[in-house]
Amino acid sequence: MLEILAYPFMQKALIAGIAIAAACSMLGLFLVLKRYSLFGDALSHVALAGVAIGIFFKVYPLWTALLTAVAASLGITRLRESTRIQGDALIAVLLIFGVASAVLLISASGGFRVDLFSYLFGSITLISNEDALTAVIASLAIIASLLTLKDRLFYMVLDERQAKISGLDITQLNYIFMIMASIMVIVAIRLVGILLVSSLIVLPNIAAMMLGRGFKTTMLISLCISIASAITGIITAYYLNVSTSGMIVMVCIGIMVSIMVLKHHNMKISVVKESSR
Amino acid sequence: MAVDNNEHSMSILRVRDLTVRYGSITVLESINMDVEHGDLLGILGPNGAGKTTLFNSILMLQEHEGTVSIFGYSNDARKKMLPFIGYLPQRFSVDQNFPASVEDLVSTGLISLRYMQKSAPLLERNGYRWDYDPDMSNRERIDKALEMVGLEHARRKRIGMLSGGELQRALIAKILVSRPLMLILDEPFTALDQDAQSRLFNILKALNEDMDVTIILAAHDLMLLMRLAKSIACIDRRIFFHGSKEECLASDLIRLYSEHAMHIHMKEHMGAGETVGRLGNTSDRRSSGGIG
Repeated sequence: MLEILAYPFMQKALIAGIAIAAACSMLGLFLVLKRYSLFGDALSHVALAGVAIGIFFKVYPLWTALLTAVAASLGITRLRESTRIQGDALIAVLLIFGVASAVLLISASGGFRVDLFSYLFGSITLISNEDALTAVIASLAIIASLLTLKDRLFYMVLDERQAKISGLDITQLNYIFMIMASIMVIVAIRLVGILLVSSLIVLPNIAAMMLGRGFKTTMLISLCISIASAITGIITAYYLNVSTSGMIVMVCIGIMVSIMVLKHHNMKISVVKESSR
Repeated sequence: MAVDNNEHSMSILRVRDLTVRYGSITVLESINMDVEHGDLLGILGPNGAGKTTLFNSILMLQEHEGTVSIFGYSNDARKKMLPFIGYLPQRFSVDQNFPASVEDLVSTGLISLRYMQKSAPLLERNGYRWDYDPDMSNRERIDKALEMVGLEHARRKRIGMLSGGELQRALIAKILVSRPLMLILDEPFTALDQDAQSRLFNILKALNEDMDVTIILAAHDLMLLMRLAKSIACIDRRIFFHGSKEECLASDLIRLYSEHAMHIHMKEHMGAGETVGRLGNTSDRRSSGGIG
């Protein structure tokens, strides 16, 4: 078991995987509570268009992806403020726009190529030293910002109007949060790929919300589930010789379903106990 | 104790010519109102009378014409005064699964503290004093607020699992944690059972009488307001009565209000046809400017 940890590519994958999973789950809790669960998905699809631009112009695709994702998230925030369109409808628009422009650009650049697949499905075990370092630094920066802003962000997702009356600059906070989310999505593409980005944002948090009572406990539980899924997923995928991103997500779903079943079972027991009294 | 009444002459809240329009519909028209420090003002009016719009305008959540000054400050400076107002909205819906305990909810009230500390000198310049003890820890503030509303036992409970009355009190604890000088409560008694109502009644009474907190609250129930409030305002698009409880008793308001309530009851339950509009007759109201 331990000999695989001696491989440098495995060490890199695990370190970067843990960092990305941790940041994703923390940021994801706020996204889920803001009812923006699909925001990660929409942004990643816009990022796909960015990747296509990068490939087309022969620039490093993740940079162009980051630029398009930040621009799109700021645009959405602006639209949400100035129009009466619902948040989820705006996210749908963003998603469709992302895929449509990506398909156009990909076809213009000569169709699907192998490097595009690594962005679609992730390739954590193939990343370079620089990519791993960038992913770790970006994830740590996001975690640090979230820890600094967590009280304010919590207030914002709980009740935006009240937070505004209390003196918080909600507009500014929303923009900062959206930029953080865009960066997170781009970094996570390395681990799980464009198609599965929102898995690490949504799944650990849904599972944690079934267990935790307070906010801090929920965040901690989500963090543990996310990191455990990343480690187990990366190692199991190596032994089974299957896709790492698919494995990470399946482990996470496994944990979530187990918690659901256990919780349901426990509730049944307590109901039986109550009624037999 | 917030302030000696002799120290300042301006009203804690002053509204001048406040008008709110949604397109061609006028929701509030030329509202003028002064609320003095230490008052407990009950705002009475039927559904859709503009009570919530009035509160939203005061709290800068709604665009409006006219001026509003809070603690003597209008325009941009008014924004800095908002944290000194505790606001309880009419509806606060929270998902059952929202991962927040009562303590988490109450601690969001502490976020206002840093903004209040910044604006406190402005407040003092106009003769108001904010009761703030810098030596108190956040933990103590939360404990105290929970004790005031009697929710110490529920501090670790998920807010989605609270009863309506408990959630109401938790929200009030959240407001009280920063010791605001004024409370605006939008129909706090609606959807509460008798027990929860009288509990809230006592909390508000104590806040106003013992801690000198100015309170403005909207309600449907005139009888309840007559017991709780020091002054009453009636609003239905325009203000057509604003005076002390005694003036209210002397006016025709109670009779009109009960006739109005009876009219609505009949319309809803017996399908009565065309009758007079809302409180009083609209054209009378416009010409006389009031019924008080």
